[in-house]
Amino acid sequence: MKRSQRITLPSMRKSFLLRPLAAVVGAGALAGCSGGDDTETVNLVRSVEDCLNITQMSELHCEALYQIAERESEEAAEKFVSLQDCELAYGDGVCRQGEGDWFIPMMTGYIMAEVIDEVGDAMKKRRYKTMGVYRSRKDDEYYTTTGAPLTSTTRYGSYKVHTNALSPTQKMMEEARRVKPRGTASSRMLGGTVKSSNRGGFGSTSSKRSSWGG
Amino acid sequence: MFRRNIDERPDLAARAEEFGFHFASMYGEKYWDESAFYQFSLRQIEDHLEDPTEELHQMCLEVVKKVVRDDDLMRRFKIPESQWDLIRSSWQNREPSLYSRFDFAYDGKNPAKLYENNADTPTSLYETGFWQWLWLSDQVDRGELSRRADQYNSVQDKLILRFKELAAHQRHRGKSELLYFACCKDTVEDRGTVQYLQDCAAEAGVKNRFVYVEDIGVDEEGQFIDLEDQPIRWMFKLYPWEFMFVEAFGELLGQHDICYLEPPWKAILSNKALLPMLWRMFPDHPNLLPAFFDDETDKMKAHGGRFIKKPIFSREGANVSLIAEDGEELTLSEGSYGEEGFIYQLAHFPSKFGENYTIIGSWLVNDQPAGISMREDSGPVTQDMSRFIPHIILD
Repeated sequence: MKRSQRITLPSMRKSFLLRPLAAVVGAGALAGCSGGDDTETVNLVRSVEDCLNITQMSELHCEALYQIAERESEEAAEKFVSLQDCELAYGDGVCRQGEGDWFIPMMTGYIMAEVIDEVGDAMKKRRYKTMGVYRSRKDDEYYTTTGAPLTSTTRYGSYKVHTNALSPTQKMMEEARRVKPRGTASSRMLGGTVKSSNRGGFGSTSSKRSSWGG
Repeated sequence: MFRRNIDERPDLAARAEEFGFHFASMYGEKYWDESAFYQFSLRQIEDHLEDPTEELHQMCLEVVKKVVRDDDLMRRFKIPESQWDLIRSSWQNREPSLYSRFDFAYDGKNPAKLYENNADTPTSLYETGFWQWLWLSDQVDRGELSRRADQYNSVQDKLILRFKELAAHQRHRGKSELLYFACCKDTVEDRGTVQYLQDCAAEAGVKNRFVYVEDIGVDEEGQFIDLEDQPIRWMFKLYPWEFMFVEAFGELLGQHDICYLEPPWKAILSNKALLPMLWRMFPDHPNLLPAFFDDETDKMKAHGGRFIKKPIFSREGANVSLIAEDGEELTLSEGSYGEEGFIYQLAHFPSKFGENYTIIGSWLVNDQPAGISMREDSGPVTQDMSRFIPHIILD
């Protein structure tokens, strides 16, 4: 065979690649402070931009946590031996080939929650919990990578999830700790505080021609 | 090697929409043309295209090795002296490359002849790696083509694998693993090529962002930055090195530790001076056409025939003229290239199938032959507007 063997059509469909990302974001709930009941309330947002709007996190964090959740989902997501079985459980076009010989659903979104370590340190260390979220074809509900359902509440976009379901794996915690907030990142993101000096130093020859392809 | 007619897929427009193929026609002309395809034997593919591609690539690397060490040759290749260090250090550090495309004339019988090496900014990658692959898969499913039909095209598999390797390479050297992709504004074809590469990179787990070439900025320390003022430390640019060398930011190249795809040493290969250099180092190689520099035109007579005069820097067949045996010059294509000088290559027109002149693009990913694309034109010099035709292998 002289042609590609690993192309999976769902991952090539632009309509799915550009689907809105539904992210589930912890509403400032602190682990261990959520009271007697064993659930935490989290919010549903529709895009990374919403993550920036709703939380106090920088773009760096919103994106980095997404990457972590996605990497984790590669290992932790439900695995299927065939694309058909996966699509039966999660819907057409939302499954892809994993890194092994199996198929996994693509994340519909991800959860994150900010946790503050209080280890007697004046400089409180922040860390984040994050986890992929999938939509089941069977009941059209959201589930975490660990299989816990997200229960909708009366408030729009707000969900409850069992606290245990949010317990991140060891690997996730290590990766999340490596995400260091950078003082300048968020102020830069918020627009205009750092002036952009100089642009347009490349591309001037481009007015002569329409395409550089050879 | 045959050209055969076939019905278009009835759902072609819907398929293009579904997969985001937005340049099936460009400027009112049909660009992707599936009313026909080319059929090859496996032997033609392997012996006449794949093996020579690998060999020619190795020969090209020999040329780079020689040219980077030699100031006179660097001048012959019209590379600005201010950029020599950038190119030399990228070669000495063995900075990895991603992909290239050779253009060949081939008739199915005689050795393929190299026209040029698009080593820096090749396009038509999506059409090659995915879209013609999908065409074959669809036509086999519809029963229009035999189940035994194959295609010489592992481009997408190889690209994804290559991105994984490149990311590992960055990691091992402690370099940035965030890859920026850049192309010029207002060209749907270039943006399509870059988007495809981004998709392949994402599939390989490489974190990536996009920035238009015109939007790249410079901060107080002279670092290149994106629109959010974040530093760019690893960049794929679908923009020719020879332009970057001489534009306003060109003087900042090499001042900061940035890894580029393609690496700066590719400027030696995407340069038409490569052709006379190859002929000088590997004379009479079956896949080469005789080629000469400006000051070697006396040697042309020995080869008889007519020669094609091409600018050292040109894209898509612009500014080409034909030199007849008596020295008379006939302009074949207009354009805005040529101020850096010209080279001369024996005139060898593309093979004609029906009314069509056909050129084969032979792709390399990670120094390995990876597949072909077919382009047809109604005239003998390929221009931007040639049509892309799919192919199959069937013995």
